[in-house]
Amino acid sequence: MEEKAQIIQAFYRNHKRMPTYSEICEIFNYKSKNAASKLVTKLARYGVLEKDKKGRLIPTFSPYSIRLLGLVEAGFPAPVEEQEIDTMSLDEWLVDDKEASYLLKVKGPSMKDAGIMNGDYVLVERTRNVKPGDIVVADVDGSFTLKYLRHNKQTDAYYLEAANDEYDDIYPEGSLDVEAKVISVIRRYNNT
Amino acid sequence: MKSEYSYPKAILHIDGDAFFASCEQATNSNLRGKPIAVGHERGIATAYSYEAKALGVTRGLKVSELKRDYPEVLLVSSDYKKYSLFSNRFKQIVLRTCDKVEKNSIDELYADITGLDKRLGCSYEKIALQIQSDLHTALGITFSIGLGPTKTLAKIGSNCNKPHGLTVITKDFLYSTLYKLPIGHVPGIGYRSVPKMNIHNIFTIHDFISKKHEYVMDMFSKPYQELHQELRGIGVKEFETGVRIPQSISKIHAFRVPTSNPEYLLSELSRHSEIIARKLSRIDRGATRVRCGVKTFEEMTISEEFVLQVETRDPHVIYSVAEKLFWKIVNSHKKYRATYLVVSGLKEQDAQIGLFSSETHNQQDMKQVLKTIKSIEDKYGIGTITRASSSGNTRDRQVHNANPLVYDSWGKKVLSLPFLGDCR
Repeated sequence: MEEKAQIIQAFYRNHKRMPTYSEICEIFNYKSKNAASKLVTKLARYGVLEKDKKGRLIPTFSPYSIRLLGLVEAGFPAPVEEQEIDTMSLDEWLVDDKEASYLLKVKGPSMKDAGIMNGDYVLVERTRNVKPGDIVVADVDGSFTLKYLRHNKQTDAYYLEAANDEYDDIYPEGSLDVEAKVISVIRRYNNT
Repeated sequence: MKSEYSYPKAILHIDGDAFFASCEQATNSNLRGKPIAVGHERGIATAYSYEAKALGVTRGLKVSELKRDYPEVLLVSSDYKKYSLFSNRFKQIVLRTCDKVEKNSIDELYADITGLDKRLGCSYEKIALQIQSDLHTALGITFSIGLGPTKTLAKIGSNCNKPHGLTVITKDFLYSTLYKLPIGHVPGIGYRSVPKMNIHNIFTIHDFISKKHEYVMDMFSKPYQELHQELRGIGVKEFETGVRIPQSISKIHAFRVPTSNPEYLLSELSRHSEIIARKLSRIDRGATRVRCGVKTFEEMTISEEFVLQVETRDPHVIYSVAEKLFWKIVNSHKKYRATYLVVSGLKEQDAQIGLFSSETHNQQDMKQVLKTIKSIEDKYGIGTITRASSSGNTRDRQVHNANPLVYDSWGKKVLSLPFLGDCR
């Protein structure tokens, strides 16, 4: 039973949902859904899962925690206590607002002193929440430019500043169209 | 401001403005503010930006006609993966405010916000405006919204003030404006139904709702009876928020160059059968009826229906039926520009099947093969493994004037973040 419970848990980790009855049949090679139903009843008794009002399965185990073992120091046997640690994926960490995030590729060295190089990717977020000092992507004359957003207190005007002395500041003629704010920079070394 | 909206139910219909064209403009700053048409790769422009509509372009022009009559319109390849990505984001953003959401198509959805005014402490109008602004900020696309007591009225409303409009269907608006619209403005009453309505002396929406309930029950079929209620402000169309189980699944695909080559046409049908089989297993159904069709520029020829003994989701079975049907309808002198495949009679697959009609080893092996393919596809993306008969045509992913999504090295999976191109 323990083993079967583990298989169900593995299914949940892989698919981010519980299996249906017909999928249980498939996994355990049952010929009928009745057999699946019996297994479900047993697993429910073991406290591995529950049925909701409509009879669909819901997990009672904590699904996203991958069990990690504590550090083992070389030489001395150390008491290893199993710790439950909540984990997240890299993109959960990098992306705050998934629905508002986009990717751009950097061309040219205009932001090199900020550590953003030609060929890097920038992860940006479309947001109302942009302030001077942020690195932003702005729409200038129909193409995207990557710069610091600055504010001139004397003239109360917003402008764009490169992180490279060879580039001039950009003062827009009309309003400044900030497209998005840079959230992170991605550099992949193993491909183009 | 006191709310003018006085109905107990509050339904929003949210509709993307020129959605396909807007997705392209949102991901390519070069296209913004310009008249553009989407559909370069199929030879027919299917969607236009508002700038293009302002020039007077109407729906569905061949590329050659477009170039001749509207040379200033920029042609862009369509990218349905991109539109699906934006469409999913659209739904997710609306779900942040309200959990009763029904997607009606790729670019529109209904949201039931009844009761949210009290919970959020602001009027329904304000909630609608907030959702509209959230969508615009996150997606860079404008949406038009209708707020009304029923789905049908909300949908008519969202079309009243495009683009980026909000139409609140107050009692006043209903009588002064909406009911005066021609009957053809009602979703579900197309150009074929309008003459039928005219026979009953119905020309405007008002003419229709003035008919007595009994009269409508006697003279019209169920969809019209429902519309009659909905237009009077009585909601009868349920919200379908779960996965909808369709009646049938179909796939049609138009090629860039019309062809009479049967091998090519069959490989298209093979590809369709795979796509359909994949959808069938996603909704856990098997199909019992199959039809196929071929389309020239002028007309579509559809085969008779083939009825299967046992429901199936095996692409090989679907394809072999389609092939037989295909030979009955194809005419080697004609050039075809699209193939069509549809399955219906969907049934839940019987788990007991092994008991009496004991499966042959062959069938069991096939099941194992399908299972393996599925797990490979989960990992490497849909289409990694295709039937050999589908491989006759490798589609080029040539992109015209647009920023393509980012693909993995297999060229099958796309990054979930839209690519906006270069920044300097």
